[in-house]
Amino acid sequence: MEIKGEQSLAHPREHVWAALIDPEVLGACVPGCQSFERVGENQYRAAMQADIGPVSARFAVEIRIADPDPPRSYRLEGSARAPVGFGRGQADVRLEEDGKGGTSLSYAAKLQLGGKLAQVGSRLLSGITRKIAANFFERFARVLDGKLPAGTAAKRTGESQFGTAMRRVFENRVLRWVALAVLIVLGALAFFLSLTW
Amino acid sequence: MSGEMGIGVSAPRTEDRRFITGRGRYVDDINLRSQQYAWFVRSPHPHAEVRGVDAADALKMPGVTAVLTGADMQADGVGPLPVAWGITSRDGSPAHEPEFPGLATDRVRYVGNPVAVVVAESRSQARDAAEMVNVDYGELESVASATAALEEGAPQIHEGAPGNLCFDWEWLPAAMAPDARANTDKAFKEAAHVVSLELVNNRLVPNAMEPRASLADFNTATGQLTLYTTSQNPHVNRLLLCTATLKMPEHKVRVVAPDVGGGFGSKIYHYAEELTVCWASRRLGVPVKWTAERSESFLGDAQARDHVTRVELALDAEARFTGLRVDTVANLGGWLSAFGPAIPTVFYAPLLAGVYRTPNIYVTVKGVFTNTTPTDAYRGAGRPEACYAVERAVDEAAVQLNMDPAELRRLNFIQPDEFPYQSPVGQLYDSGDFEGCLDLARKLNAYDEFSERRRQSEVRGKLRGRGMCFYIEACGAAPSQAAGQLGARAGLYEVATVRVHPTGSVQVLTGSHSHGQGHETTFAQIVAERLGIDFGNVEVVHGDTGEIPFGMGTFGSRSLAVGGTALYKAIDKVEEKGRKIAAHLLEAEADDIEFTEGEYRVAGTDRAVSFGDVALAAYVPHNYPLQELEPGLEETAFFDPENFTFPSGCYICEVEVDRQTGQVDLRDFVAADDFGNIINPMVVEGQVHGGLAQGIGQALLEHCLYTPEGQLLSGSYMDYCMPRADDLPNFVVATRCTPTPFNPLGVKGCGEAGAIGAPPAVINAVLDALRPLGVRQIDMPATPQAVWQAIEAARSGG
Repeated sequence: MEIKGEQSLAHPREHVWAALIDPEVLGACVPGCQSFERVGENQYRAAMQADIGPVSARFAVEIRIADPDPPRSYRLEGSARAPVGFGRGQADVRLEEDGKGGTSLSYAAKLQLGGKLAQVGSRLLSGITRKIAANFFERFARVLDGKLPAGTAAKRTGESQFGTAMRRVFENRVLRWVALAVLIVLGALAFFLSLTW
Repeated sequence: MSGEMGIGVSAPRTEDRRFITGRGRYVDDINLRSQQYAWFVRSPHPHAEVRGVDAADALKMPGVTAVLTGADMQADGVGPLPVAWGITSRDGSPAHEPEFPGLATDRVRYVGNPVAVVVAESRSQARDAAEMVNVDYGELESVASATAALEEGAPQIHEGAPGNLCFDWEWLPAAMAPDARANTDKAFKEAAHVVSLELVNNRLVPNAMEPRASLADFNTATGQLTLYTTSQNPHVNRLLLCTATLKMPEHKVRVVAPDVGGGFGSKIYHYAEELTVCWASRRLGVPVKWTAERSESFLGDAQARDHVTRVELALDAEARFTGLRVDTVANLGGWLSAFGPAIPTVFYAPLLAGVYRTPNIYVTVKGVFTNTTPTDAYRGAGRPEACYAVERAVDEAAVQLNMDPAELRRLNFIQPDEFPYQSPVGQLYDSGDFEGCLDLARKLNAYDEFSERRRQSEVRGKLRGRGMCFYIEACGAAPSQAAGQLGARAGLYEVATVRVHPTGSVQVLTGSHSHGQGHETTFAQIVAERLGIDFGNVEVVHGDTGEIPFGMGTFGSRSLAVGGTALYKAIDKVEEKGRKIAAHLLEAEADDIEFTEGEYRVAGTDRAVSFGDVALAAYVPHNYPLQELEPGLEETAFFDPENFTFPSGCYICEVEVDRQTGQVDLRDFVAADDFGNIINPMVVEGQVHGGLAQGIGQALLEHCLYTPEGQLLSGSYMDYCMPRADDLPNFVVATRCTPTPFNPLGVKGCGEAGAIGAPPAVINAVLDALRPLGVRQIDMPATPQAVWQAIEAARSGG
């Protein structure tokens, strides 16, 4: 399945880029990270527990970052496996100046599901993903507008294990991409799981 | 007394009391001491190598007894799941039958393919532990559609089947009818009109109300295995278990299929799960139970239909059918299910003559492996696909020739004086009155007032359409020798024992299996009628190989025509023996004894003895001809039919289509069926209703959908739309009767008719409604989305 979206943000591209890779902004969106390890150049492995509603599934996540081109574009490739099935995805994210001082953010993601995830959830995937993206960008815009402190979201959902582990992780600049990859690949899976279980 | 509940009476179903009060006894209701639970690890990939199964983490989970794999199964000498019907390609080579292990050994070929089984003390422990089994898959390219699988460069699913072609079959084969192909081609060359259609017969999921379940109990002391399982044919399962897979002596295996909540074909086969729990119980020495959850049924129960067909009909200048050419690609799935290769071939092509005198017919079928759940028989099994192809083509011809579809059919009907009628595709039709059925259906539909109804619909802003179908099907499988020549690897007779008790009550032990059809009632009616005893004094026992004689079970609408006839013949024997006993008691010659209404009477006198007294004499043989006659009154008859039976019928359907939303509303549905003689009209009507609901489900709602790679998308009731009461109109059901001469009851079978005739009637009606908008073709299911898209495509000139 392919998902495309576009978001206008009334902030300069460099600000958007910086916010996009700010762990304080992104971190809160990543649920239940249990482990995180680097397994090679631009390659990472994570274990995530998705505990949303009645669903509890442990995903083994693998992520690769390809072609970061700050502040213009990057590409993420990731996969997540759980006993309930698997998901795979790639996302191309692009930031363009809109000529009026703002930024147009566009993304094109390809997602594939397998096993029980596909069996029970495929029909909902695009709707859920769209909803997640909309929520994400709404929140993201409010952060940029200064209406919502970046730290708030983290604290509201924040588990301390996540905070401690991830703060170390985000000292590495490249790993910031991982957070976004996890958001895109796993967020979709976890959220629609909660609705279909 | 028999008259109250004898043949032809709508006796209330005796089994319903326990069904509707929750007192039925299904497999999952049975629990044994020390029983453990199985949960299957299934492939999430449509096609992958299985490089290894790591059970270390799962074995550490609480309550886990064992994690068993395909390698373990192989090491124990368990054989592959058998194919029960061999098909031969037109070049004479046998269809490729890959070895289908119960648990995958080296490769998985569909999503849901069992890979390992976890056995634990509770179901939830087994389930949790199954999530900890780590299978190392090497993913392979995969393909779900049969036509895509035939394309050059498609992923190869079985090494022994190049191009994924399991068989390339023709009917009739050149060996039997060397000129069939040439004559058919000639008919098309000389035709005044040719109609050609490309049709998709959508894949369906069977969805029996009770999911499959199996409980196996191996007694380590006696070496006896008892299997409780959701089966339509427990003896067949025992035979396959003993000879093909588990390889145990038959006398050491008892298979019990207790109350079973619907089958529709999906519970015919010997499945991997059933085999695995038997093997696990034998290996572990504890009873092992598996009960499918609904989403496993979606993956694991054999699915059905999934044909892509090109059908061409040739007509002469007077609109008489002169030739029919059919070319079908049938999706068999990742492995062959037991009857998988037979359904799109020998259960399909021989019905393509329909009810018409088409002289030349030639059929080719390619059976194709894909990375999907295996397909097999489902209510109708091949005949719905045949009927759909023929009846869509006939309606299209009527449109092109601007003829009334009823009149075009009438012009081409086989006539009543032509029976038995030898069709050009190898069937000998027993009897029928097609004009009579057509006229009955027309009358019930108020056929001639349609234009007024159409006008009224228009006033309401709706497009009204009417569609017709005239089906014929083959029931009563089967003459064993004919089936054997066509590749069947089993006999298809049926058996019944009539056990008369000393007090005159009767137990019937039948090889047929009731999983909702009402045998306990209808079979008892036959006994009540024949022996003149009270209906309530007859008990029908089925489903337990420990109690019943070796029978073949229930499928293909065969129970009454074959199993009922076996019962009839066993009653003949009881009656005959009773006559000899009565002759002795009455001091008369047996030839002078009449048996009517439960009394043996010396003809023309008032000297009589009741059936009950005869039964008592048989078991208390104080005054009994022991020198000539054994005591006791119990008889068994096996019946192997001489021919199939051929129910037929005319269905007329009216729909209203909302052109804004594409919603199709069924306004009216008339079914005029010929099932031969009828034992219980209410049971028959119930069978017709159920069949129609399933046929309408296929036509309008149900669609089993995979991604191109083979991920099942319609894997729950969120996405697979089953028909509900509010999707259906009040059916108008009537019957005409031309008894079959091929069994003494004159019965044909009614279980599948609705599912066969409804789809083309509905789609013909939908197309009739949409024709003014320029829509010429639509595939099933005609969902609002599909109808709306067809309307939009026609509007934009597509």
